This record gives sequence, C-alpha cells and structure tokens, in this order.
Amino acid sequence: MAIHSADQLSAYLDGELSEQERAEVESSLAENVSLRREVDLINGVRSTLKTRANRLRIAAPETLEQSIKLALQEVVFQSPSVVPKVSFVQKFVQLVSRPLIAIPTALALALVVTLSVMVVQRGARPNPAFEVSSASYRNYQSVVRGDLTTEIESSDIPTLRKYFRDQGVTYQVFFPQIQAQLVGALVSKEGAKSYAHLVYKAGSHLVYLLEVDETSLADGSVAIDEAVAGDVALSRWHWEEKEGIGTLFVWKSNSIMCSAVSDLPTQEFSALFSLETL
Amino acid sequence: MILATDAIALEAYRKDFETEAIPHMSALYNFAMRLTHDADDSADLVQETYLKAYRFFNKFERGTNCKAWLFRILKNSFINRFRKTSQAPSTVEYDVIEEFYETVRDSSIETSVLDEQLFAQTLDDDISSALDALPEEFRTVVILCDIEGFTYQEAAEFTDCPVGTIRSRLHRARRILAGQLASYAQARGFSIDEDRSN
Repeated sequence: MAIHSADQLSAYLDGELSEQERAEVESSLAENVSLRREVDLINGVRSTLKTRANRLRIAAPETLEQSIKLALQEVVFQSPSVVPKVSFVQKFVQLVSRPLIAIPTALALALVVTLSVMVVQRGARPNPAFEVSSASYRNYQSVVRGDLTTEIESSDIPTLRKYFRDQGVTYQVFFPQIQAQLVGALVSKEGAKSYAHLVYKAGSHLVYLLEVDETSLADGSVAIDEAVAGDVALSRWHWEEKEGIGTLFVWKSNSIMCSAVSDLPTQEFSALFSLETL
Repeated sequence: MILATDAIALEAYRKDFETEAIPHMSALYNFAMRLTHDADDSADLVQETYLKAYRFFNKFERGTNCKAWLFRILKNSFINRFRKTSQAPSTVEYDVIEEFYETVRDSSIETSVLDEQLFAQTLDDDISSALDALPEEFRTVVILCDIEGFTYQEAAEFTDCPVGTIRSRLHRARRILAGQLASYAQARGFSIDEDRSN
C-alpha cells in the first residue's frame, strides 16, 4: 500500500495522522528504503528543532518583563473594562461631581445638616460609644459591598503614615506583619477623634483592620465588648467567628488595639499573621 | 476613586494574568523577532500584545491554550502595526514558495543522506540563519509547530489555513531546512560522504 504524498511523513512523525493513514505510512516504510531515509532526514531536522527550541529562541531583553509588569500596573487602575461593575456609591459620587448638580446638592445638604444639628442639639443626647468589634464587622461588610471605600490606595507605609497624620489621626498606626497585600486606607471621625482603617487582600479574600488608641479606650470614646475586654485584659488574642460574616481577630500591640475581620475561617485567618510579631 | 473591592479584584485579576501569560514572553519575543527582525519593534509588539491581552483576559477561557491566544493577538498586532505601513516584507505568494521549495529540493536534498550526527553538529546560529532564510509562511509553521509545540490544528487556526496546508508547509519547510543545514555542514568541512549510511 503506497502513501498518498510525502507530506504524510511529517504528519506521521508528529502523530497527526489518522489510524488508517498511519498504517499506510508504516506499510510503505517497511517496503521502501528511500522513504525510510526521507523519514530519518525529516526526523533529524524535527528533533533538532524541538530539542533546541529554548536555545533557538532569540532572547528577550532582560528589562522587557519588568517593563511589561509596570505597564500592566499602570493600566490596572485605569481599565474600566475590567472593573466588574460601578457601584451605586461610585455612580452617585460621579454624578454629584458635575458642577451643575454639585452646587444645588451642596446647598441642599448644608440645609439638611443645619436642620439635623438643630434637632440633635434640642434632644441633647450623647451618641452611644463607638464599639470596636461591631464596628469592625459592620465596616468589613461595607468595604466588601463597596459602600465604604479606601481614600488612599497605597501599600507604602511612609505614605500611609503621612496620610493618617494629615487626616488627624493622633496615634502611631501599627502595620502588622501579614501575608496579604496592603491595598489602601481610610480615616473615620467618631466624635472629635480620627481613627485609622487599613484594607488588605489575601488572594481573593479581603482583610479589614481597624485601629484605636489606648487613650480612646480609657476616656470612653471607644467601647469594647466584654469578651474582647476579658481577653485583652489578660494580654490574650481574641478570636471569634460570626455566622454569615467571618472571623474577628482582636489584639493589642503596645498602646494600639487592632481589630481585624476577614471571611476566612479562624485557622486560615490566623495563618496570615506573623503572630510572634504582634 | 476606585472602590477597595474593585481595587482588590483588579489586583487579583492582574496577578492571575501575570501568572498565566508572562511565562510565554520569551516565545512571543522570539516570534516577534522572526517577524520584524528588529529588537525595539519586537519589544513594542510584545508589550502591546500583553496590554491587549490584559484587557481581554476576562474573556479568555481558562484551561484553553493561553500561548496560542497570545500568539494570535501578537499576529494581529503585527498586521495592524506593520502591514498597514508596509514596513514589513509583504506576504510571499504561494506559487513563489512552491518554486523556492522545488529549487532547493533539486539542488541539495537528493545528494544528502543526513543522520543524527550531522544535525547534532549543526550550530545554533546556522539553524537560526536557515530559519530566517525560509519564506515567511514556512518559517511561521516551523516556529509554531517545532519550536513552540503547537498542534496542526492550533497552527491552522493561527494562520487561518486548512490543516492540510499546515501539514504540507511544515513538511516542505523541514525539507528545505535539511538541505540548508547540509550545505552549512559542508561549508564547515563536515563531510557528508563519510556519513552516508549505505
């Protein structure tokens, strides 16, 4: 049985023939010496190319990978096509950023705030203390939903320290050693005080961290629940899991109380931290 | 302002992309060099390929051949960037390729019986030169199938040709290369006669 064309020889060597074609080629090879030479020849070239593939590639400049990665990082925060969706809050912010809408909106807000202050002053009732663990759970969920957003996107600690100082945080914010990428931060005002919040990502999980200072605990500006207070008083780490939300981890580092939340279970969440450095 | 959750999703997206796509950079750069013959153009082409691929990575079907996908983007970028401005050599007509193949076949292959020892002694530079001397259509198929490990089907999709054409071009390209490498070997003093097997 003869093969139909010499092209079949390459395809035979590459395993790209049908069963029938392969049988035809093998039958022809058994009978034909010059065809066997041809196969040896083609196989010699083929094997040489395949075994030297890495050496035959023209080497890319050493800087190319780095420049591609840098270009990707620049694109990462500019690419609307990859942002899953624009949240309601973001749309609202974009809307009120337009001057024609911003001015009347600002006037209306000012009126509402003025009226609210008048009502509160009449009622003259102090706000309940800001409680650390419930605030942590609540803020974590808000960050996940996108209702609460980072005001600065940076992983650079000096930059973040400056941001916290500029925003009125009076204590030295603690940056724990954690196997997660620091994404950004925000500052909230509770009464007259400002508090630091950090956001990390660990793979597809998000870690939210609230930090409050000892003074705020002492003067009652910030409250902690009994379970947390019990552990902290004994210098123990406090772990708890809340159904449907995630895990809370509270610890004290010098004069700062840190309260972190993630949707990871306790064991995996704790594995992110270098606990000996806390 | 970008939301924290968006920033996190984007960061994860970028990492996924890098893990999947960056390992193919040297293959892409080599292919770009074989197309453009210019280091700066090749680096630009590869970077452009990555930026385009990044924007469409959410449409890339995981588990399919990322390398083949990147090669297609690179080819389209090359066509858009260079073919439009006629900076690159124009497509060689198929009958010209046929003629080239027949000439080379007549002049060299019939006198050579090349064994593995001969190919083993061939210098990388000689193989590179022989590759560069191939008509573009032939060179593309050899790079895709022999250097980059594409299947005939993947090469056919890449070149928009039937699988039969890939099979034919690859065989002919290998034969041309065999003849070319034999002539390099002779020029370097390696006697083919001594290696005749019968």
